[in-house]
Amino acid sequence: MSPHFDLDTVVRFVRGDLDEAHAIELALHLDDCPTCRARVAREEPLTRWLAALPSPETPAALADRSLAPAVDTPAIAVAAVCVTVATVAVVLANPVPDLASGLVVARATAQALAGLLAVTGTVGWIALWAAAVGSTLAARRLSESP
Amino acid sequence: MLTPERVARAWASPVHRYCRRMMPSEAEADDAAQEALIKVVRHLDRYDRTRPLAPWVYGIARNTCLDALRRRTHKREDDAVEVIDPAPGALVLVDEAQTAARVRRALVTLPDLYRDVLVLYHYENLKYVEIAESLDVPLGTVMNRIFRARQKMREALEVA
Repeated sequence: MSPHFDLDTVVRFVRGDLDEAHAIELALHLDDCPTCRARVAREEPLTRWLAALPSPETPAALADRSLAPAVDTPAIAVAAVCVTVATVAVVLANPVPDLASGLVVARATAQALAGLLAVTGTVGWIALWAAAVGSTLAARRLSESP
Repeated sequence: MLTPERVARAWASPVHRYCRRMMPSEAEADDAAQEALIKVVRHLDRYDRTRPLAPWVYGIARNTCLDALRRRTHKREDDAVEVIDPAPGALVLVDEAQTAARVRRALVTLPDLYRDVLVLYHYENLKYVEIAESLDVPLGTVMNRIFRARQKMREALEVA
């Protein structure tokens, strides 16, 4: 065993969180060891300074916010595309007497999804564009049909 | 059992405390802590349950803080840290707030490498071996960094 105590033990001794047996052992050792006495004297001031920094207050909602369900971007994107395509398909398969109404439905669906997808990242944006392009193409076909 | 909820509640304070020591301002610490805790919760399935949890959690918190610090290169100066005129070298624990501000300022000016081990050791009470595991470095490296970190803090605080 080393004749002197290491930095870790000395720091814990100064902080007062060394277990009793080790603390007594070190205290007795200090009576006879000028090297360790000097080490304690050297480490004590900084250790006290460091202890002066108060513990910060944790924001109350920190844990709750981290538990909020993650947005499943790919799933939402796929669902969005499906809904849009389905809407357009319905409009194409069932020519409505009022063409404008059909277009409004398709467009409204795409626009409603846009707001949702705008917050879901890259995949969401890709899906949004796919939906928008799909709606536009469908609208053109509808407007060109007799 | 380790559930996301239990982990989030148990680790919110330690992660926030760590981030507050690592980041220069309270707002940045709050953001980093939030980001780190979300990562901890969402990646809990990647944690090797045969290992201690603390080094893994602090590893995530560290990476989050260091990433955030790298992103803020343009405003690196201590814009959010209270600047106190240096006091004479002798250890005189004057006003508590002033002392805390000096310690915080000294901590912020410490290189990330040293601030990290110092925070883990002094404020999170991690053992050398846990710090070594969290950093994935040998024990000797941790001991050396802590020694140097204390030396630099002594110089910064002008503690004899």
